[in-house]
Amino acid sequence: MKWEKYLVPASLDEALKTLAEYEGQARVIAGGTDLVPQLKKKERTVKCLVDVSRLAELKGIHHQDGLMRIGAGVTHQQIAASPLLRQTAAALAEGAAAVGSPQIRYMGTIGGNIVNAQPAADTAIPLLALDAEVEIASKEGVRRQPLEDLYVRPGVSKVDASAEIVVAFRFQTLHGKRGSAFARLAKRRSLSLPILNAAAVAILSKDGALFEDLRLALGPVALTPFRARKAEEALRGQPVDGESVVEALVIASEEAQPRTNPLRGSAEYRREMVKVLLGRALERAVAAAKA
Amino acid sequence: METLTMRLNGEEVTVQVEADALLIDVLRERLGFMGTKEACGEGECGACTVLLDGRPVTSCLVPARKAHGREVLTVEGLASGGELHPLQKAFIEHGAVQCGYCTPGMLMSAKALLDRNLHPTDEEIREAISGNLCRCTGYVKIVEAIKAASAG
Amino acid sequence: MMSKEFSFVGKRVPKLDAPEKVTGQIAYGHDMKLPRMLYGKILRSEYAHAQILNIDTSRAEALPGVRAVITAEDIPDMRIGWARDHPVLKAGKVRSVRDEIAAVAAVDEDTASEALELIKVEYEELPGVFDPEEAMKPGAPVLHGEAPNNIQEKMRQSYYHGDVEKGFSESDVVIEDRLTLPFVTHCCMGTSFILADFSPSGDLTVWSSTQMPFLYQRDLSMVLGIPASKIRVIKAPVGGAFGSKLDMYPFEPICVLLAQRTGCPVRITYTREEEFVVGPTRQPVICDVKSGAKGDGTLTARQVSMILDNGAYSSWGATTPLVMMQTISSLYRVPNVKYDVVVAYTNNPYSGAMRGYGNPQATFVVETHIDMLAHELGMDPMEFRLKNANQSGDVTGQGVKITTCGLTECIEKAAESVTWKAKRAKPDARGVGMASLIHVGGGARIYPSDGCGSTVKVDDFGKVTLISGSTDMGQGADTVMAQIVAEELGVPVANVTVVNADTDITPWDVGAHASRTTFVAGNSARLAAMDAKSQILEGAAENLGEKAEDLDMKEGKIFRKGEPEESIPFEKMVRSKHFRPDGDIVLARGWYEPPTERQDKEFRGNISAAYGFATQAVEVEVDTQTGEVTVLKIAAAHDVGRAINPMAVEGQIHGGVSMGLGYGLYEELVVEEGQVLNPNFADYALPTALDMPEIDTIIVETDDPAGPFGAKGMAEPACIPTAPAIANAVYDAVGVRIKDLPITPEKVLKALNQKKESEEEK
Repeated sequence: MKWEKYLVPASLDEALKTLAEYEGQARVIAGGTDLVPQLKKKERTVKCLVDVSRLAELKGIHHQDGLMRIGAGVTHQQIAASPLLRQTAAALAEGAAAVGSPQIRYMGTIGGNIVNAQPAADTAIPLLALDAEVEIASKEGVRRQPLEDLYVRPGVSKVDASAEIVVAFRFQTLHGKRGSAFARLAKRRSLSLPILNAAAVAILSKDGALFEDLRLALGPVALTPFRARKAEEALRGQPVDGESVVEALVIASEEAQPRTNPLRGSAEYRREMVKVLLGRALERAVAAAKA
Repeated sequence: METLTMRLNGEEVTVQVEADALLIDVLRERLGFMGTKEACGEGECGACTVLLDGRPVTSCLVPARKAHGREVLTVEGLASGGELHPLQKAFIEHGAVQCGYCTPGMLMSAKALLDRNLHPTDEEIREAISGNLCRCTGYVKIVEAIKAASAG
Repeated sequence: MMSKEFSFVGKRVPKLDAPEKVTGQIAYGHDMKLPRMLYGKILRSEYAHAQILNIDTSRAEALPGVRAVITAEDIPDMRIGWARDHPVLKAGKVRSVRDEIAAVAAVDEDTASEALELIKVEYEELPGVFDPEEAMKPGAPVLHGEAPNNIQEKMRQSYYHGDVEKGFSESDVVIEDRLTLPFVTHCCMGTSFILADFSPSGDLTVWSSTQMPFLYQRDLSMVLGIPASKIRVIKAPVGGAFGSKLDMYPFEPICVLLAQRTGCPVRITYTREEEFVVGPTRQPVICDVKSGAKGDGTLTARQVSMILDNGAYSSWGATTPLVMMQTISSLYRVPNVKYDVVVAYTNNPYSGAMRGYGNPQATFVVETHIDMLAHELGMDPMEFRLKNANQSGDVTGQGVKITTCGLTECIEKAAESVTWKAKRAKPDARGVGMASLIHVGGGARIYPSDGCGSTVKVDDFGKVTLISGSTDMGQGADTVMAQIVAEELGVPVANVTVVNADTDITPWDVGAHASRTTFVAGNSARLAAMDAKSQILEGAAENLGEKAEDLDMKEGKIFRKGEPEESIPFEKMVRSKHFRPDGDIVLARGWYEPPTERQDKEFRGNISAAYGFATQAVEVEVDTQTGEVTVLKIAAAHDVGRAINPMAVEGQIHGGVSMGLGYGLYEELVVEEGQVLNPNFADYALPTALDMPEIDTIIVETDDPAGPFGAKGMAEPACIPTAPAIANAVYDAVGVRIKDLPITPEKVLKALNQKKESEEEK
């Protein structure tokens, strides 16, 4: 038996109650694309699955007053295909489009991609660069937490999927002199995990010449999705196309701590690729900000 | 055991399933719809692709209960009224089938594409079947067949 | 050349089984169920090398639903494989993580899996050896007592023709390199399976994914001690084979033993992980190669020394040097050749047959060096190949008799397709490269008989049944056979049904290997069809008071030669032959044995009645920052003799090119300390639809005199030259030579950085 009970609650409240009843032995399932293989391989055990994929509270992509709110139950396909997100949070749309395969993108949700806590999850890296906040519902109510604080180590997040439900992600949309982009290196063009991925958000001065602010995210170069803060620091206030960019990329490659993986590349190669991918993401983010 | 009611290939079906049954097992083992193939069991090859409410999903990863109250289309439901679906005809005529093990899943991904895009480009076709692995054909004739079955 | 007018040969006839496949109606082995059928599962070793101290199956046996648990203790010592070095169930020692320790039959798969978890095995881990060079060193852990040096002595081979030392001394350019090739595997979409069932009288029927039903019948009989006359092998529809189902593996006799023990039919189907970990591989090769040429571009000498990783046991992989040897001795005209090979046991997965049977490795070696020689000489690599190309009528140093050879045309047409001259040696990061091949195309005599038998039965209603020894694994052999029969007999393809791969019914055939089916089984089917035609025409002649030689038959109608307007439906003549005093039915036969010889002790001889050639030219673009290689186009020009079914030929080329692309860029079964690290489709990267470049298939027809309607074998070749062509194109694009497949971005970038450093030093 992979699980003994499969419940499909009709509301968020009911879902939370159900989780509470099982006292830690139930787990939230959304698309199931990560969880079902884990359960099949007995990497995880669970008594009850609580399916949140049809909850209205977890649906929808809404934009109001410069704030984007994406329901945790929104699928990668919906994000990748959203004209609104393509325009105002391109890095996220691009990241979602890179997940797995069409089937996985139709099934998998952005919430699941985050709770599964892989350090190079293709939606986590752009969300990190977008400085997203996460709404998490529990018996005690809804709390908001920066995405960055959610991670513990590969496969483990601070969301207790036996008691809590990720409801939505929120971030400031990018308009005016702001732009974002995502870059990815993988063995092949579909069905593959990244050797490295990177997302950049560029916030430029009015004349488009300087980085007023910027955020750079990378994976997998640490146990959790990684913000290249030293590189960001080095570039803040600097020209968008000068030597400082090259220097910042070097800094990023030094602060990143990629590991050697016999299937996906050596630490040395990945470190070198930090410069290339981050450079490409940043260049496109700047171009988008200027456009 | 739990009750699962779905519209399978246009007909309402009710079946008692184990709580942890996966959609592919219900289709193959309980209902005898053997056209859907399992080739990896981890959602990494697309052989088990079926349409759930018109969307392509790998049925080896879908808890059967997710199909409750929804529409499921398998390869057996493509032909209608004794006529093969245009995609099926095109796969035959264009040599898109060799060993055939990926074919049912490939057809379902193609169907999902053509249902939302009547005029796909070659690149859009490749993208739509990029979650379906094939070791025999190099995909060339599959892309040709899907193109031929589209409205051009 | 194309003067002959055919009705069905050369036509794009859709596959006969395609309707069954597009509707999901066809039942593969995985879909087969028999009443009372049980499910078998196998427990394998946790260690790559260990002593088994104890096996406790008691808890598994007690699990409800379990019907049998067997270990080596329960069966006689059974050894399989050509070298008989492979116990079916292991006692005493395990030598790889594939090793079968126990097997279970249970009422369903979950119960069988649960039972495996209840079997407790105590091991004492032994030091292992995972590198063939290490394995041959004194003091290395020994796998088999019979081979204290870890060398499979039966495969230690040396071949030569001419005198390489003399050849090198006469050369203006001599180069030497070490090239290495990885473990890769077939990735058939349908995994391996067997379903075994005994009748009450003890007759065994197995439905199997085998490519060689008759050798399989023999092997099962030999290992199980069941007379072959009591074994019926039926090849059920398979989801691809590519050589993986060429040998019999332990799970197959194990399944029969479980059926014997339980008295129930038992089915074993591999999971994907099993297919990756337990299925055969294409063997890794460490190769030292030395090549020489004269200043005018004439090849002088080629010396190759190879070390093969055999893994823990000997399957067909160990015998692939026999095929490698042909490429090394005979691809391009080379007067002096020496080839030495040693095959070493390691605690790695053991290697089997895989599309090309050694030729992808040998061709990578030879074609990499051909390209390097051309550059050393300052010649265009295409011109260099043309200068040394094999030609029709050549007999190579190994005694390979080349009857028809389209190599020159293949090189020229492939080059033209990628606009070779315009694109070569440009300073951008794009480049073109090419590679060619030679492969058997008219059978391969590696067994006392390389023949195939066929029967053609024509019934009273005009239905023609070809009962062929051949085996269709999805490639479309049945359709090609039907076209050949339809053409020869003069009936529509729609009238022809093909029955194959059932040892109780079909005449003998050695099996689907060596790209031999169209050639050998096609010739056999043609002979049977000719026999059937003459039986029909003789009957008609008697009936009509004509001479048989004055009659002919086309489109199912019999007429006087030259007077097709006045005709009689052929089935009418079949009936009148049948329903008369002393009547007879139409039952025809054909047996074709290619006119070839086995190699002598020095490996010389003409083992194939024809040879296939091809050239693939590739255009690539290299991202010099990441090292990523993008293949933009592959032009594949293949000398197929004649394309009986151009659509099927194209399909073989496309599929082969995709497999070759994977071998070149993506695929590697990563094995560390004997453990497979990537036994899944996420981490073992075969190409997806998005990774495939434009493919220009160019069919070159040389109308081979020995082939059926001029056809030669062509199925394996498509995957053979792709990887070296890509490697050569990468060199043309950015000037780095990758000598170790696959060509990963990391390897390319590293080579680019090294090149930059050495240029800076200069």
